[in-house]
Formats: sequence, structure tokens, C-alpha cells
Amino acid sequence: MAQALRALTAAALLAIAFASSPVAAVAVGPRAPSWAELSPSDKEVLAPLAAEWDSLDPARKQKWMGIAKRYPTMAPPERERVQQQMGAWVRLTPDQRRQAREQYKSLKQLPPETRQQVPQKWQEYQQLPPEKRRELDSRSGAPPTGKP
Amino acid sequence: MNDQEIAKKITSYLDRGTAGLKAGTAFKLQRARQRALDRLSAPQHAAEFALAGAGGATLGGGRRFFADARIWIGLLLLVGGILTYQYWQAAQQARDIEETDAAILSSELPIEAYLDRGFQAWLKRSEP
Repeated sequence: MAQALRALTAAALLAIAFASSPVAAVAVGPRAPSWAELSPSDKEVLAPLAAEWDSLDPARKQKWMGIAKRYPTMAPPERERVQQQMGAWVRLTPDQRRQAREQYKSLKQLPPETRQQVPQKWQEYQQLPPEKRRELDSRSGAPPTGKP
Repeated sequence: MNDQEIAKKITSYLDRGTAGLKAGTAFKLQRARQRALDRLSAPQHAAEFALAGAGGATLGGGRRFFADARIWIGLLLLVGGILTYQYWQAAQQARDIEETDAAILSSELPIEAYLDRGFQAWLKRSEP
């Protein structure tokens, strides 16, 4: 009985190890089409990424294809902003993207009236003298990230 | 005549007899042998399943334990379950990132604003 139990435990551990290995993750991972394989509409939306596309990993390709799918549901000014910014976004480091997402999520938690004022605040902030902005940056307790 | 000589005689008779067998007879003999062997192995299988069904307490070794199909089905379900959960979790995370990125890119705030820690500090300070 003890022997059988040991054997079963070993087999179960082996099964779990396999299932949680990167091999399994790759096996069920997303499809990654090359730029040439993209649909004409995806190519049109993702045009700013044409040069980088083939070097992106499958998960990022999948994400951009998802964004391209959302694109038609966006308002014209939003579409314009998406296309203007995707080139800069794709060139950020993974850490910078993570930081931006965190900041987006924390801004999202602000009360609606405060949230609406954020773009206005950004304009005001940019009017501050550079020394003042540098001081704020150094006091934020994190290393400066610089421009993307 | 001793035993060995008798045996030799018998085998030579038998050999001659088998050489003269018709093809049909040989086939029938082979089939009968096969049937007998099948019957011999069938009750053993039944005993194994009965043992497996009786519960682990009566089982000695791991080998017979793993002969039970239910163990394999269980392991298969376990692996399948883990894979499904992982896939679901990864998909959920990917959807969250996609949603957030789409919102950041389409928002009125430029990307620099999300990365500027000075702005974040200033915003926090100017909050009511």
C-alpha cells in the first residue's frame, strides 16, 4: 500500500511538473503571425509597428491584434491617438510599460471629476519650471525614468 | 529397451505423423491451441480487476496498482485540469494587459505622463 501510494505521489508530482513547465505553456501558447500573414485591416491599423512586428514575441503580437480588433469601436480622436502612440509604446522597456499600466490603474481609481482634470493637470505640470519638476521627480522616491 | 529408446521411437513416430498432416488439420490445431491459451489468460485478468476494485488495502506492489485504468484517467484529468487552469489564467492576464494598453494608447494623456514620477507626485500633492 505504502509503495503504491509513493508511486502515485511521484506520478502526480511528475504530472504537475510537466503541466507547469514552460514546454506546456508553449504548447498551448498563442499563434504568432508574421507581418506578411496579417489581414489587410490589421496591417492598416498596426502600420506604425510594421518595422518591429516580426521581432515581437507571440504574446505581444496577440495583444496588438486584440487592440487592432478593438480599434473600429473607438472614437476617431481615440483611433488617432492609438496610432500616434503605438510606436513609442512598443519601444518602451517591459518595466516602463508595467509602470505605465500601474499608473493608469491608479488614476482610474480617482473620482470621476478628478480624473477628468488629469489631462488639464498634465498641461499645468508641464508649465512648471524644469527645476521644480526635477525636484518633484527626485522626491518621488524612485529613479528617474526619462522620456520614452 | 530402456526409456530413452522408447522416447526416441515415439518422437520419430510423432514427427512422421506431423509431417503428413493436412494443412486444414494443422490450422484447426493451431486455432484450438490459441483458444485454450485465451481461456487460460482470461480468468487472470478478471482477478486483477477484482483486486483493483477491492481497494488499495489488498494491493502489494506498485505495478499492479498502475494496471488500474482509473489511476491513469485520474492523472490525465489532473494534468488536463492544471493545463486548463493555466491557460485560462494566462488568457485572463493577456486580456487585462490588452485592455489596459488600449486604454492608455487611446487616452488623452500622453504616454510620458504615465511614466513621469514627478507628475505622479505632483498630482498626489494637488489632490484635495
